[in-house]
Amino acid sequence: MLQILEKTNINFIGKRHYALAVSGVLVLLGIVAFVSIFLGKANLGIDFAGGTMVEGYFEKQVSIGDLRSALSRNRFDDASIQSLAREKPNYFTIRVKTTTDEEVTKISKDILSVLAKEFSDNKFTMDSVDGIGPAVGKTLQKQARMAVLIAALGILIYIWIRFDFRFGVAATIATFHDVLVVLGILFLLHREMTLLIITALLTLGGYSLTDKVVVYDRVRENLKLFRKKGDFATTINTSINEVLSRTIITVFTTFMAVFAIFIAGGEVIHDFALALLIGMIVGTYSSWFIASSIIVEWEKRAPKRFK
Amino acid sequence: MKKSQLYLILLISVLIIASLWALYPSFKWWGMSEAEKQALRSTEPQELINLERKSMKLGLDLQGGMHVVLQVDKSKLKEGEMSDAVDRALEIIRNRVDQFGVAEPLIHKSGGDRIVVELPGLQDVERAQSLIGQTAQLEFKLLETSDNTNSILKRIDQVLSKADTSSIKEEGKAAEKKEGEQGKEEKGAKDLFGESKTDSAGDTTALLEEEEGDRERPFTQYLESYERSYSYMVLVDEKPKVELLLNQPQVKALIPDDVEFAWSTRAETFQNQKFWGLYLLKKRVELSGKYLVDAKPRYDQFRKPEVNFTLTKEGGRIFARVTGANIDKPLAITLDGRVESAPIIRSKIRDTGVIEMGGVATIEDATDLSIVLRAGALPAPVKIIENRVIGPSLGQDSIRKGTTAALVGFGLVLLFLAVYYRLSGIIADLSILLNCLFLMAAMAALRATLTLPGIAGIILTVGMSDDACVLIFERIREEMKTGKTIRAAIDAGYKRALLAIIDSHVTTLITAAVLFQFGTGPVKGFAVSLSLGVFINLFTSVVITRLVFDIRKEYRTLSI
Repeated sequence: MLQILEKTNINFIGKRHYALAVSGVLVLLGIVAFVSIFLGKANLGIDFAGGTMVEGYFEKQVSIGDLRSALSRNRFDDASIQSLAREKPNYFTIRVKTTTDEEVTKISKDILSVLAKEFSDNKFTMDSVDGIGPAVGKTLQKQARMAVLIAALGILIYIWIRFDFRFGVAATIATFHDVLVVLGILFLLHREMTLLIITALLTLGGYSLTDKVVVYDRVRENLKLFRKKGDFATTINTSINEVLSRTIITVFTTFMAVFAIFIAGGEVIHDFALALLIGMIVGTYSSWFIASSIIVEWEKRAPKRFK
Repeated sequence: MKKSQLYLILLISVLIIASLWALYPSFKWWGMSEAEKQALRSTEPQELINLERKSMKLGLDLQGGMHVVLQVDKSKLKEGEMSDAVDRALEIIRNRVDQFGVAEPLIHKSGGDRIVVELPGLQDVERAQSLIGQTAQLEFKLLETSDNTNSILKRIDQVLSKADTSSIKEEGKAAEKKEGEQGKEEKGAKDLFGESKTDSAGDTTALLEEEEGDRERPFTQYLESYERSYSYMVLVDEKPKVELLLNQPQVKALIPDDVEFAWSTRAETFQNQKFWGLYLLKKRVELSGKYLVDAKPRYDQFRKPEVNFTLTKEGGRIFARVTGANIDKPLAITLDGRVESAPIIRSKIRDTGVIEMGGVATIEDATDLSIVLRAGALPAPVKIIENRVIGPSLGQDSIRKGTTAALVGFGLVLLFLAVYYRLSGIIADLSILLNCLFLMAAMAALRATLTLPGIAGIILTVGMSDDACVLIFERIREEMKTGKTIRAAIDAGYKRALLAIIDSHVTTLITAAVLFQFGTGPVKGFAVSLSLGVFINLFTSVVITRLVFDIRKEYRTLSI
């Protein structure tokens, strides 16, 4: 049979200090990202920041400068315009903040009529319009936070029931670690924070969890076998090594599948796929080094007979 | 082969056939070109609608359409009325949308005071937005007599000509600064109507300065009237000036308590110029829209659109009384405070009537008015606070790209498994294929919506499916290495792996449940396909593959 990995004996636990140091930095980055989002300094999508966004393409060439002045002339002097490299040429995103209580539909309607008037010989095809009133953005933010909290709680309780309290705590911390690290990396890459990204973060949290569950399952089995002999840390290490080939193969195949979406799935889910890809790698890494290290350290400081 | 195995095979076959049958309409629908759909629409429209209904629902991000969130304005409602008002508003909006004719609209409450409306495939966004958002309060009011009107207008003129116009200009400037966007909006609106002055300042105070005009008639100079009409006409350009003047406290104080000024619903064209109509109405509501029982759009004898309405018996009585007492006088029909028309009462009218809509209106305007009249007025005004529109081309683009990418990813996974696990890998591939088939059939049968993230969810399900198989197969390999017989290794592999599979699936379900609860539209679609996938996966990856392995009792070699 084809085998990618023969019996391995990588000392994951032994290297945990390096890993924890690296993770420390990355998590810090994630916290910075989180705080920036909170303060509104990150690249917030209008889901969270509120505002109106119009996306579409012109038939003929238009320079950003012309577009900007056209909009300024017609009351939209604070419009933020981006030229996007999409399949269709002359593709632009126009974003306007919502400061007033004006109806969001009116703003988008006005933008489109301005474009029709100023570029009367150059048809603009609207691909999508998003208008979010100022109050809505805050609601969505709150909802996203609630969702994350409840998911974390659910995970903690389930793992606690199935395995052990410490395992539950370690899994929850590791999952938070994963989400924060991915958030930090996305922040570094200056990606736009939208509802879809939050979805990706929650998903990868759930997905990386399955990884830890597989490791825990093996640990539980081995602990039963090695209860009298072998010390705790070695047992954990062995367990990780034993499931290594499964982990590599699963991550590899799922990575391939999501990668296909990343490059060919279109712009709308591009960032979503990116978050998942980064998340898969980080999740695997944290199953090996973070989740298990926490348990080992905990056991060292507060030894307790494992059932 | 054991009996239980036979039954299982039978069950699986039935499921496969059921799935294919459930998915058949979707394939047919997607396979039809626009032309074929048109053809079917004219010959057998019902069949087309049925076909569409039975196919898998596509989210807005895949078929284009509109998503709005309305917030009910509770400022005028009393304490306990809120929830009831929202329910009634929901029903009324649902009525309006139903008549608009969108397939599969989605309308539901959200939070205490919000209503979510999703109209897939909708093209005419503006029309839908105004149809949904207007309060649609219909009222019949009498006009003030021309004598009284004239005297009021004269007094306004007097007050304004005496007034210090500079203070008005100051006020105008201050008002504009305060309203900020509002003032700019006026400018923008005038520009859009294409009749702007050459100077760029364009604010109303500047215009007032420019045209002191007739100092004797500072107000009425903007009002034109013709012998037979009971309203005044104001040039489109000058409407803001008139509104500014009407808002002056001195002017407001002059207007008696029982009357109010009102504008027409739309600007009419007369002798090549566009005018708004200005009316002085009695505030008293003679008859309200709640007595309306039906409204139909029609063409009058001049091919102009109008709305024929029918009143209830009670309404008919009131209407007869009002019309009987006011022959030869005009009766204004107002919608949300704007005058739709003000015909002169020629004779006593009992329970049917006509709302003329003027020259600029189209039959669509008449249809829309009929719709809102039939559905009723909203108990409180609503405001659109969230608005998303996906154009049709983006939707099609997304479908194409999403499905292609999904298929590619899918193919890669299948290939890898077959290569790495050989024959067992092919069995795993079959189970993954069945997984997807059942998943899509379940979504079609449950009328779940497929969104773009939902397609990604299907890919993740494939990943989980693959994970489950890998767990089992790796375990079997391990067990084989410890020297067990192949049969024992298979059994042990399944047994040990099952726990891990269940645990990981449950944790994924928890995340999916949370996403479903807190997510909107596309996110919900993702959560649904993920959850369904997880359940189905337990069946296909574990049960079905096990079935295949159990077909032979003894193995000498295993291709894994």
